[in-house]
Amino acid sequence: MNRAASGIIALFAVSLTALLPPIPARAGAGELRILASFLPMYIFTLNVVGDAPGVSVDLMLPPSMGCPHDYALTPGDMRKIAAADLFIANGYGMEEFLGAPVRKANPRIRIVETARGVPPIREAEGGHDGINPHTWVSPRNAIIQVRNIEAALASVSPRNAGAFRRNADAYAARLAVLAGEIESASARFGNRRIVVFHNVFDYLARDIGLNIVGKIEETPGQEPSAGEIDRLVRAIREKRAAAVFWEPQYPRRLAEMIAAEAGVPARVLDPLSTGRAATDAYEAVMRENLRTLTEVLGK
Amino acid sequence: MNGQTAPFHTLEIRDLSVRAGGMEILAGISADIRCGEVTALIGPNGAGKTTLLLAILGLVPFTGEIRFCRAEEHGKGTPRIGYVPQRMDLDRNAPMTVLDFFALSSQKYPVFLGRSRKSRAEAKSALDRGGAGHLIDRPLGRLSGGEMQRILLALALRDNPDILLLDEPVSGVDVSGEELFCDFLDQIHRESSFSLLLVSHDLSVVTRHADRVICLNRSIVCQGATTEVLTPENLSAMYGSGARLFSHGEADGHGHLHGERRG
Amino acid sequence: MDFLLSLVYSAMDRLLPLAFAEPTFMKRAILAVLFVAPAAAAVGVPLVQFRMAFFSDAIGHSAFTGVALGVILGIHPLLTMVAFGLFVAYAITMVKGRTGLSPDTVIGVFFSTAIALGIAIISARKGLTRNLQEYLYGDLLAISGAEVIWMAALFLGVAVYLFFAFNRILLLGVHEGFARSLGVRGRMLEISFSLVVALVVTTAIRAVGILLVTALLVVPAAAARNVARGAAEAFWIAIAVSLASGIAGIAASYHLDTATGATIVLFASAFFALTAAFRLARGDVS
Repeated sequence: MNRAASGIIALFAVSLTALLPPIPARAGAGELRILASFLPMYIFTLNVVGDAPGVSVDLMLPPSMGCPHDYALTPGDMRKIAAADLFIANGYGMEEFLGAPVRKANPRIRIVETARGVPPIREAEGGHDGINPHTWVSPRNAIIQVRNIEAALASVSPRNAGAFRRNADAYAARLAVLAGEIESASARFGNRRIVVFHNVFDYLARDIGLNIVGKIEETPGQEPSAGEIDRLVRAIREKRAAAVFWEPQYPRRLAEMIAAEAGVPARVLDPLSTGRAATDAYEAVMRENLRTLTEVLGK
Repeated sequence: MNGQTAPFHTLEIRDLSVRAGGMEILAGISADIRCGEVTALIGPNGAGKTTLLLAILGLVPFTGEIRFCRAEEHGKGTPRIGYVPQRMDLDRNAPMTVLDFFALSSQKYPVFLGRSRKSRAEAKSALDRGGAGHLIDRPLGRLSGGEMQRILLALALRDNPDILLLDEPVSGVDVSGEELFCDFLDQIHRESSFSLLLVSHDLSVVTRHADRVICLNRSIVCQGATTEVLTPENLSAMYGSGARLFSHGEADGHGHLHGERRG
Repeated sequence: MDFLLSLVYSAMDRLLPLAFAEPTFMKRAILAVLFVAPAAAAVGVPLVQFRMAFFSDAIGHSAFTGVALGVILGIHPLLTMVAFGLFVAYAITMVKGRTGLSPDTVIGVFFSTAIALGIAIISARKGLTRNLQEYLYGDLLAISGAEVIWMAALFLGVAVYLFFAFNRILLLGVHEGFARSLGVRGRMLEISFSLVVALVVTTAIRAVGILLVTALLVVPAAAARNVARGAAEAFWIAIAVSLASGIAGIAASYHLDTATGATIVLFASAFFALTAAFRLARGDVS
């Protein structure tokens, strides 16, 4: 190979290193670095932290990712874990990737499973120790999770405990208002029978008395067979379910087809596993969900 | 007879060269293939014999000129060229009968809609001419080497070519098969006036059937009447020193080329 | 269009009053298979002749990247899938024979590059994987009326193409130089055929998915080759096998709760085993 060619290749290889992302700087002394696993946890944490000094909050799964089912850690994630002091997770099996690799990346990281205290819904299928992990979709549970976040933050950063408590109180109050709205609206629902895409809304359904008569994907990720679709359509007709709800994180074709086949409307309900990373996002999305439910079920 | 007028024609090759992959495969070939004659193209492996055939067929790009001349109109006209490729390149496992094979190039509509009576008649008469009429419904995979050879020849003759190119027609055929084939070739050649260009390794075939010989080894080593050309000097120039022509006699002759090749 | 479809549906109710054909989504699935399977089998016959199964697989897998491109560019993934498939088919065909590499190698390079590109795109924009599952396994049950119409158009297009090109393609497959000496325009046919294959493959992916699409083209043609003695026989047997597998596969998957695409391919494989056994019993020299 001639010299010019090898020169160019060497130059090219060296310039590629310039594309490597910078390694995050170590925390300054006293700064508390918090890593939230996915969007809802991030939003809750932002609200509790508020503008308390010396605390930073980062989101691990990008907001477009969705539920961390089957998520595999990337090298970028490992770097973030290595640099964090506190990891805010949902728990109940949602973050299946929290195993030995995380411990190895950062032995001193403290993991907070925020769903502790929420009465679990057990399920026969679904691999998360038989517990449905989607606790945050019910505002009552969200309040429990926010309080768990507050307690963890206060114990790690006692200096800011007062600020954390004030912020958590304010946020929990807003969530309580939201929960109240949903509960009073749902009391007026005419038809409570719905079909959902997968088991994301079980906690909300339990708390406001919705009856999930069928799920399109009983096992998340497993497409239904022809026979299963047919039985679901019949169930919708026989039980006179009000609507089929799809989620923005999943392809809508199947849900819309089933709804059309059964002669019911198809609408979207957002469990907030993806979306805007803003402090009021949870409330905004839940209110939108409430509008949708009221429109379809309120007869 | 082929019923075509303009009996006198020549294929004139002038300064033909073929380059591929940075190498010159043929260089400056000039030759005449004359109407009604049998011209043999001989040379060692890699000499470019098949390439020359492909150039005549227009299947490889070349520099230089190939002119087809009818006596009245010099340098005009497109010859009908029949081509009989080396048998071993054919896909024998294709689900296809001999009739299918013929119909593919004679029928307007696709064979999956059937073969017309006209196709069958044309194929039958072409095959009969080649002594292979009974093979019309045989799948290609069930043909012996010699039978396949006749099929290909019949197909090449079907459209009454002006020039017939044969690439190693007797390689892989046994001695008696080869004789039958060559006699048969003689016979049909006498009936028509096509020019025959025959690539062969087998010099006994060449000596017994060819009128002219072109000795090729990337460029033309020698060409002319068979008897004049196949001298020991020319054979050495092509196949290496010490090459001599042995023959076992006319009747059951099978010529072999002995001697060492060098370079 | 909808009116046309509802006419077809009521005709199907009368002709096919069976349990698995009753729901409308099943009728659409049946129609889709009725158009796609024979188109795939018909194209599969020359495909097998030309030993292009790997090529078909490469186009199928490149569809994965085509979809990813559509999602990140904001264009309908079905359109980019077909466009990218056509592009890869054209590129492979143009590069094949221009370098000193065997066709296998050229296809392998394009195949891997396309997939690597797709995976890189997916990993950079996390969350796309959900969209892709329907492409990996097929989305026959959620197929829309518009897609059924497209498949009908494809079926017609393939029929017209083969009407004009079939003979020359087969001739090219028997011996290329010989075919070209008879006036067959080899290059043109090679390119047009690979583009038609790309269209059929990217359409069939909607029925059986990327993982199984090559089977839909190859297995019926292979089954036919086992027993056919002539070109027309091979063609019609391949089509018959694909239709029978398609309908039986849909019906069986309905009653057995299995994935529809896979069930169809399994039936085709069963037919292949049958014809292979028949051929062995007949005592043919292979």
